[in-house]
Amino acid sequence: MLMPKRVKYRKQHRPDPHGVAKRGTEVVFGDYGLAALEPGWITQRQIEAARVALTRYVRRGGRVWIKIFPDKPITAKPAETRMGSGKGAPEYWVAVVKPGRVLFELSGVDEESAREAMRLAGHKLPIKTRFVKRTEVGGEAGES
Amino acid sequence: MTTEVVTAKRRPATGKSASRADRRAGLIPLVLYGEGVQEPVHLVAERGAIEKLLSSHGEGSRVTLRIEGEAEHPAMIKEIQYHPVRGNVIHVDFQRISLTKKIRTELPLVLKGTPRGVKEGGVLQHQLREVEVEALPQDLPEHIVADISGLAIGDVLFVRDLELPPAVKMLTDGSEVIATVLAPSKEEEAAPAETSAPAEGAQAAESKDEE
Repeated sequence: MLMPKRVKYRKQHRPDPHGVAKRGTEVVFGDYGLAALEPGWITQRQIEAARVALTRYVRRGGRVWIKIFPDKPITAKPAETRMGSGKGAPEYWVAVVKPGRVLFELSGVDEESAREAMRLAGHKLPIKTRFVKRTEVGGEAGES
Repeated sequence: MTTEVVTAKRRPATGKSASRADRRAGLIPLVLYGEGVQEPVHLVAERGAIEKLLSSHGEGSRVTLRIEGEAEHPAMIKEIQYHPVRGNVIHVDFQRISLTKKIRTELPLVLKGTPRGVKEGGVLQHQLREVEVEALPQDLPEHIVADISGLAIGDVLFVRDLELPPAVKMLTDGSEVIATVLAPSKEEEAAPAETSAPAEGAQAAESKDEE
């Protein structure tokens, strides 16, 4: 699963995400993408599950890009522990995602397969998503 | 190359709230700068007109910008901004150009044909989507066509293989790869994620209290 090799600080605050994505909102590597429509935390396990769903469906031929990285540590206290005594231990990692962010990209397959692959991958994620396409010459951006 | 005419008018108020009000009123904020323009000119145009223009033109396209009650400017679409969620156009930059001076711009590459290798089961990998060129504005094509129908599995199309109009000079390095046809990969469904092992070290490195 994806996680940072080393980080400067072990524990982070957990502010609510506000606003929309300012970068990573376009399909740049592949031909098709899956964009977030809601803010949220995507865990390393969810990213891996979506990646497996994508690669299983396209099998050979397709190429997959993961455009998000879980770089935020989330802590948790052990079960049946009394409150207090400081912040819990880091348990897992999440990627903070805001609406508009392209999460995955795909190339080398036809559009119908890409839509189905992205639909399957989207079901592994805790947020609403939308299928998007690369902005073509003189064309419009993505669509649902 | 024929140029489309965009009619715009000056925008008295600028800034976030004025731009939002313009958008609510069915207008799109624009800006014009460049050759012969001292200060950037803030403009608005009808949403419908801009969307119609962008249905057939993209960044790098040449247009004529007519400011109501003022002169016409030969210009190039420099940047198009889209809303990150809704995908609609929220702002367009126009760069004024001189018709007698060469300009440098990025032109989109359009691949033509289906490679021979893909018909044999290979996978087309499209790596470079734009090239930088230099030419007089009237000599610039809308895009550059790369014929990939002859590519077999393992073949590579380089920038130096492109056929350019005579008046257009390529600035992108000729050895850059535009597209390749890769051999079909083995079924890689169970391929493990890129990183699995080094991860623990991450935490161990800074969680000294656990050691």
